[in-house]
Amino acid sequence: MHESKSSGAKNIELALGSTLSRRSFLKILMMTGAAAALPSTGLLRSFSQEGPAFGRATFAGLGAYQTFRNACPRNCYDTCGIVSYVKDGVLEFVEGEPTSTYTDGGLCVKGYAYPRTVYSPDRIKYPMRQIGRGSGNWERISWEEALDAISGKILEIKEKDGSLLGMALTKYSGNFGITHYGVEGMLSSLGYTTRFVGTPCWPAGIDAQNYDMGNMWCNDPEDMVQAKYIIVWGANPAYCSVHSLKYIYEAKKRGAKVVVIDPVLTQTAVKGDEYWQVKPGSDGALALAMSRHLIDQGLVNRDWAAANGLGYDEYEAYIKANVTVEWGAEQAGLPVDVVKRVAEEFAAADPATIWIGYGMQRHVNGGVNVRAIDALVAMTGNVGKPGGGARYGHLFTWGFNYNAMVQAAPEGSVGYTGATGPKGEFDTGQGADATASYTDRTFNINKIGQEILDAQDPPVRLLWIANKNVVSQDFDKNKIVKAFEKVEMIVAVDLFFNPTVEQADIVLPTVTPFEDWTVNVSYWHYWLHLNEQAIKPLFETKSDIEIASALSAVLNAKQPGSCTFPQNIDAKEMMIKEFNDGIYQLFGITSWEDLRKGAAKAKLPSSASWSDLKFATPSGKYEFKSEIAQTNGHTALPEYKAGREAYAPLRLLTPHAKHGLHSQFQNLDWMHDLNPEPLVYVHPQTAGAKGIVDGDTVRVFNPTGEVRLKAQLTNNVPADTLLMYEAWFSAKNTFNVNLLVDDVSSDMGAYKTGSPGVAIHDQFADIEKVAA
Amino acid sequence: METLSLPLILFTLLTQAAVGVAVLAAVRQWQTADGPQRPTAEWGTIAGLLIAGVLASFFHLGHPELVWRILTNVGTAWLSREILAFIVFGALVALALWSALRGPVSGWLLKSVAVVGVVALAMMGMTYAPAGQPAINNIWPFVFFMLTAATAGSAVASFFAPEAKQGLVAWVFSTGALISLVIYLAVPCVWLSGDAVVAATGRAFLSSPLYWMFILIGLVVPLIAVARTRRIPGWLPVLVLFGEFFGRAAFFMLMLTTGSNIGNLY
Amino acid sequence: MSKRYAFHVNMALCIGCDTCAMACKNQYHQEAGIVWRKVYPVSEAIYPHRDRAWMSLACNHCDNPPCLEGCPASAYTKRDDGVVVHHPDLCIGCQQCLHTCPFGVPQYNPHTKKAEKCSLCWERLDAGLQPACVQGCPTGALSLVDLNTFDDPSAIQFPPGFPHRPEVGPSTRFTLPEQPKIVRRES
Ligand SMILES: Nc1nc2c(c(=O)[nH]1)N[C@H]1C(S)=C(S)[C@@H](COP(=O)(O)OP(=O)(O)OC[C@H]3O[C@@H](n4cnc5c(=O)[nH]c(N)nc54)[C@H](O)[C@@H]3O)O[C@H]1N2
Ligand SMILES: Nc1nc2c(c(=O)[nH]1)N[C@H]1C(S)=C(S)[C@@H](COP(=O)(O)OP(=O)(O)OC[C@H]3O[C@@H](n4cnc5c(=O)[nH]c(N)nc54)[C@H](O)[C@@H]3O)O[C@H]1N2
Ligand code: SF4
Ligand code: SF4
Ligand code: SF4
Ligand code: SF4
Ligand code: SF4
Ligand SMILES: [Mo]
Repeated sequence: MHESKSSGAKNIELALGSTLSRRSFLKILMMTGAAAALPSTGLLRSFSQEGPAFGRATFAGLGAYQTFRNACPRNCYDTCGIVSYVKDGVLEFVEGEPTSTYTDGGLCVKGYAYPRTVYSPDRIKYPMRQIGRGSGNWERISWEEALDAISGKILEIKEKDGSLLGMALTKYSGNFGITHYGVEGMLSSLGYTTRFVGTPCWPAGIDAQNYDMGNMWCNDPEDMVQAKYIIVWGANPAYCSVHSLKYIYEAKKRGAKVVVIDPVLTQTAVKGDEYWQVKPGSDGALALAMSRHLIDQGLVNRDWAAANGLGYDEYEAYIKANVTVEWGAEQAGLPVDVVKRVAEEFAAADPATIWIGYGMQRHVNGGVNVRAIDALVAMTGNVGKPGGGARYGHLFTWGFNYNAMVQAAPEGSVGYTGATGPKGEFDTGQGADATASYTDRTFNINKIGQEILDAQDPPVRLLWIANKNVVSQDFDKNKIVKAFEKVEMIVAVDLFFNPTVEQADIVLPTVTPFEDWTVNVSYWHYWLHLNEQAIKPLFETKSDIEIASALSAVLNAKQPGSCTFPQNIDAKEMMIKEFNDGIYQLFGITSWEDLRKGAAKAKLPSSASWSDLKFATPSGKYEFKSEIAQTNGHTALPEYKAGREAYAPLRLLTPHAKHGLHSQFQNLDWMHDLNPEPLVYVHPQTAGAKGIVDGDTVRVFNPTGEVRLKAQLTNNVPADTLLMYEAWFSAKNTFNVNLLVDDVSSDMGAYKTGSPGVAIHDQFADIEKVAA
Repeated sequence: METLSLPLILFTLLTQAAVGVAVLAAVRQWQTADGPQRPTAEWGTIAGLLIAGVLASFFHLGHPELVWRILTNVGTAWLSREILAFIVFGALVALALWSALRGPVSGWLLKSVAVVGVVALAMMGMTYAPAGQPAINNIWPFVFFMLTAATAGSAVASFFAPEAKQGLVAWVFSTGALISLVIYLAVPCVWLSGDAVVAATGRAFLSSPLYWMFILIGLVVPLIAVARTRRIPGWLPVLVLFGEFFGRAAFFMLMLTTGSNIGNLY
Repeated sequence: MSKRYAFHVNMALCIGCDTCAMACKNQYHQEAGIVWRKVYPVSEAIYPHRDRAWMSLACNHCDNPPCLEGCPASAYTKRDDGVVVHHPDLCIGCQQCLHTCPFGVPQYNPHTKKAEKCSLCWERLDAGLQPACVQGCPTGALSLVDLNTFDDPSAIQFPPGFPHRPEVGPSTRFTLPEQPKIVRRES
C-alpha cells in the first residue's frame, strides 16, 4: 500500500507549527492560555521570530559553559560518552568524551545532532490524545487527564478479566540507560501482564555463541589493533560503529590484512584490503568451505581443538563427508582459489579475528551460520586470544541492580500459569520469583502484529509502547496497523510524532538523555558512562520511570495497593540505586561520583574474552558439538542449513543507515540537510532492464506491501539485489521499509532471548518504474 | 545554478540602458550640429533609468541599511569600483539634466558622461566576471553589457532622436542586435568545448527556454521588425527590454560555479 | 613565525560519515538548509564506486582569497595564521562572495540576510582547542595542520574532483583514497 502524506502528518505539522501554520498554532496556544506553559517561546521553532533561546551560537570560551557528563544510549555498538556544554540552562553543544579512549573525544553524525534533538520544534511537548488513530486529530491534555484515562483502563481490565494479562508491553532499544528498565518494572508493579519478549536485533547470534561457548562474550574492540588478520563478516562499522574503524586502521598500519564479506560493497568494504561479494545467507556454507580447506591442508590447530574443544572430531568428520571447498564457494558465489587463499592466510596469521556482524545473522539460517564462523575461529586457535576472537557482542559489564526493573506484583495478582523463558537478552533473571505461581504471558516481539491478532483470553486490550517505534521498526507494517485495530487503547511514550505515535490513542512526552539521570554501558566496548541531568526537562516531558511513578500515584489513589512502583521517585536516586559493589570493583571505582570526572573502563584480566579457556558451556569446553542446540531443535554441529527460498525476483536488503540510529535522528531537519530523502539502490543492469534511470521514482513491491521512492543506480549492489536503508520519515514522507519485510523467524534466538529473531534480510521484492 | 534575483536583473538592465542612451546622445551631438529634439526628456529618461536601476539594486542587498559599506573596498573589489563609477556617472547625468533644462548640453559634459558610462560598464563587467564562474570569468560580461547598452539604449533613444536621425538610431540598433545575435549564438557553443563547468554552462544555456526567449524576443523579432520598416517602431523598446530580461535572467541563473562540480571531473 | 593553518583531508581514511558536517552544526547551530562543511561524494569517473570516496570540505582559507578581494564591504579579513574570517556585522548581504569563491563555500542565509562560512573555529583555536569538525572526526581523516611544518609526502593540493585554482592558493591538502581488491560474485 502506497502511503501518501497522511492526514495525521498534516495535523502534526499543524500542531507543531512547522512551516506555514505555526503562527496560527501559537495563536491557538495563546487563546487557550497554553502558551504560558512554554518555558520560552523561542524553543518552539528555534530559529524564527521568537528569539534565540536555542539560536545561532558561537564558541564563547570554555569558561562560559557548565559541563556535564552524558552518554548516548541508542542501542549503538559505540555507546559514546558525551560532554555537554550548557549555558544559561541551554544545551549549547556536545563533544565526545575525551577520557574514553574508545569515544576519543568525538561522536558521530547522530551524536552531534543531539542539540537539535533536544530543541527540535517537532518534539512532543505535552501529553496528547488522538481522536481517531492515524487521524492526526490530536488534542493537548494534562498529565492528570492522561493518567486518569490510562489508570481507568488498567482497573477496568483487571475488573473485567480478573488479571492484567490484557495489558501488554513492547519495548526495545530507544534508550538502553539502565534506569529505563523501569518500564518493565512498571508493568511488574501492576501485576502479571503480557510482554513482547525477544529482540529484533541479534538473537540468532546470541544463541549461537551460547551454544558454542556458553555465553556471548567478545574481546575488547580496542585490542583489534593487535590482530594480524581481520575478517569483517556481515558487519558495516563504517556506518554502525564508526569509533571502531580507528582500531581496524591501526591494525592495518601494523601490517594486518582486512577482508570484508558482505553482499554489498559497503563503505566498510572499500576500507579493507579485500572485499568478497557474498551471496546472502551463504555464510555458513562459506565458513564450512574454508574449514574444509584448513582440514585438507592440515592447517587446523588440532592441539587447541583437542585441549579446549568438545566434538571437534565429529565436526571434522561431518565436513569431510558433506562439504567440499568447491561446493561451499559455489554456494557463496565466490572463486574457489580465493576462498582457499584467504582460509590459508587466516590460519597463518596470529592472532586472527572475525567480527561477526548482526546483519549476517538476520536469516532463516543466521544462527547456525554464526556457529560455523565461530568454529572457524576456534579451529584456528584464535578464541581466547588478545587480538583474536569471534567478536559478536557481550553483556559482561551489564551487572547492575536493575533496581527500577525489579518490582513485585501487587498482592493477589493473577497471571499466566504456563512456562515462560527469558524476556530478552538483558533479562538477568533478577527478580524472578521461582515460588510465584503466576508469571507474565510472553509473546514474540518480532511478530507483534500476528501475536495481537491471535491473542485470546484475554486479547491485548491495552498496549504500552516505550522505547520502541513499532510501526517503523517491526515487521509487516500493514499487519501491525491492522492488529492495532483490535487493541482497545494504545499508549506510546516517545519524543517525536513517529509512525507508531500516529497509531496511538495517547502519547506521553519523554525526555532526552540530557534531561535525565542514568548510567550506560555498551554491548561492544568495556567503558562505563554516567549520564547526568544537564538541563531541566523541557515542556512537560517526563522520563520513563517518572511516568511509572506518576502512574503508580494515580492508581494507588484510585485503588490502594494496585501498583507497587515507588510513587515519589528522584531520578538521580534511582540511578544511584543501580550501582553495586560488583560494578564498582569491575570498573575500579569507589563511587558512582567518580564517573563525574570521566569514563571508567572495566578492569579486565585480559583484553580477550575466554582468555582462561574455561567456557561457560556444560562441558566447560568450546562446543563444536552442542547438546543444548540439539535439545532446542537444531543440529548439534553447525551443519549446513539452506537459506530461504526466493519469493520474488530480487533480493531485498534493508540494513542500518548512516544518518539514523534506526528511526531516531533521521527525522531531524538538521539531518535532512545531509540525508534529504530515502533511496533504493539498484544495479545499473537491473535498472536498465526495467527502463529505470538514476533518480527515477520507482515502486518496490512484494506480497507483503510496497513503497515508492527514488532509485539510485550503483554497482555497489549485486544485480539481483535491491538495497534500501532502514528508516526515513518526516512530516512529508512516511517511507517505511517494513512495508516490505515479513515476520518470518530466523532459526535461533528463543533459547537466550525468549523469541527467535527475524529473517530481516531473507526478503525479496520486485521493482518497476512509476510513471511520472 | 542560482536563484532568480529580480533586483539584479533590473539593476543591470536599466543602468546599461541608461548608459546606452547617454552614449547615443553624446554621439549624435558630436556628429551633428542639431541636438536631440527633447534633450530634457532624454536626460530625464537617462536619470530615471539610472535611479530605477539603482533603487532596484537595493532590494538585492540583504542589508541595504549598510549600503555605504559598499565603497569600503575600492582597493580590490570590482563591485566597489563599479558603484563608485556609477556614482560619478550619476553625478554627470544629473549635471547634464540640469544643463539640458537651461539649453544645450556642453560637449565636454557629453563626452565625459559617455566615457564614464562605458567605464562603469567595464567595472560592472569585471564585477560579474567572478573567479568562481569560469564561463564568464573573462571579457564576456563586459561585451554582453555593452551589447545591451547598444540595443536597449538605441531602442530607448529612438524616442528622442529627431526624425532625420531615426535612421541612424535604427542602424545602431540593428548593428548591435546583429552582433549580439552572432555573439550570443556563438558563445554557448564555444563554452561547450570548455572544461566541465564551462561546458555544462553552455549546455544549460542551449537547453534553457530563457535563453531562447531572449534570442527570439530580444533579438530576432526586433531585427525583423527594424529590417522591414528601417526604423524603430514605438513598441520595440518595450519588447527589447522584455527580451533582454530573459537574457539577463539566463545570465544570472544558469551560470555554474566551479564549486557546484566538486567531486566530479573538471 | 606564525602558523599557516590548513585542513588535511585524508580520503584514504574518510568514510563519508558526515560527522564533521554535523559537528559544525552542533557548534554553531546553522539553520536547516545551511551547512558549512560538506562531505562531497567523489564521482565514479574518479573513484570507481559510487558514494564510496569523499571529500570533506569547508572553507579553504586561501592564500589569495577571492572572497576577500571581491567583497565590496570589506567583510572578510585574513588572520596571520591564515584563517579567513567573515565578519557578519560588516556584511551587507550582496552575495558577491558566493560567486567569487571558486569552491562554493560562502552561503547566503535567508534568515540573517548575510553570507556565512566556516570560520576555522578561530574562537576554539584561540582557546587552544581543535576545530569542532576535526575533533569530531572518528577516523582521523580530518586534521588541522600547519603548512609551515606539514610535510606528509602523500598530500596533494589539487586532487581530481577539486577545482584546480593554483592562483587562489586553497590551503586544504588531500591524501587520495585507496581501493581494495574486489571479488565479485560469479553466480
Ligand atoms: N548508524 C547506525 N549505527 C547503528 C545502528 C543504526 O541504525 N545506524 N543500529 C545499531 C544496532 S541496533 C545494530 S543491531 C547494529 C547493526 O550493525 P551491523 O550488523 O554492522 O549492521 P547491519 O546494517 O545491520 O548489517 C551489516 C551488514 O550485513 C550485511 N548482510 C546482510 N545479509 C548478509 C548475509 O547474508 N551475509 C553477510 N555476510 N552479510 C550480510 C548487510 O549488507 C550489511 O552491510 O548497528 C548499531 N549501530
Ligand atoms: N527492515 C529492518 N527492520 C529493522 C532492522 C533492520 O535492519 N531492517 N533492524 C532491527 C534492529 S537491529 C533493531 S535493534 C530494531 C530497533 O527498533 P527500535 O528499538 O524500535 O528502534 P528505534 O528507532 O531506535 O526506536 C526507539 C524509539 O524509542 C524512542 N525513545 C528514545 N528515547 C526514549 C526514552 O527514553 N523513552 C521512551 N519511552 N522512548 C524513547 C525513540 O524516539 C524511538 O521512537 O529495529 C529492527 N528493525
Ligand atoms: S549513535 Fe553511536 S556512535 Fe553516534 S554518538 Fe551515539 S553511541 Fe556514539
Ligand atoms: S568526520 Fe572524518 S571520516 Fe567522517 S566524513 Fe568527515 S572527514 Fe570523513
Ligand atoms: S575557499 Fe572560498 S571562501 Fe574560503 S577563503 Fe577561499 S575563496 Fe574565500
Ligand atoms: S555577501 Fe557579505 S561577505 Fe559576501 S561579498 Fe557581500 S558583503 Fe561581502
Ligand atoms: S573548522 Fe569549525 S567552522 Fe569550519 S567547518 Fe570545521 S567546525 Fe565548522
Ligand atoms: Mo539492533
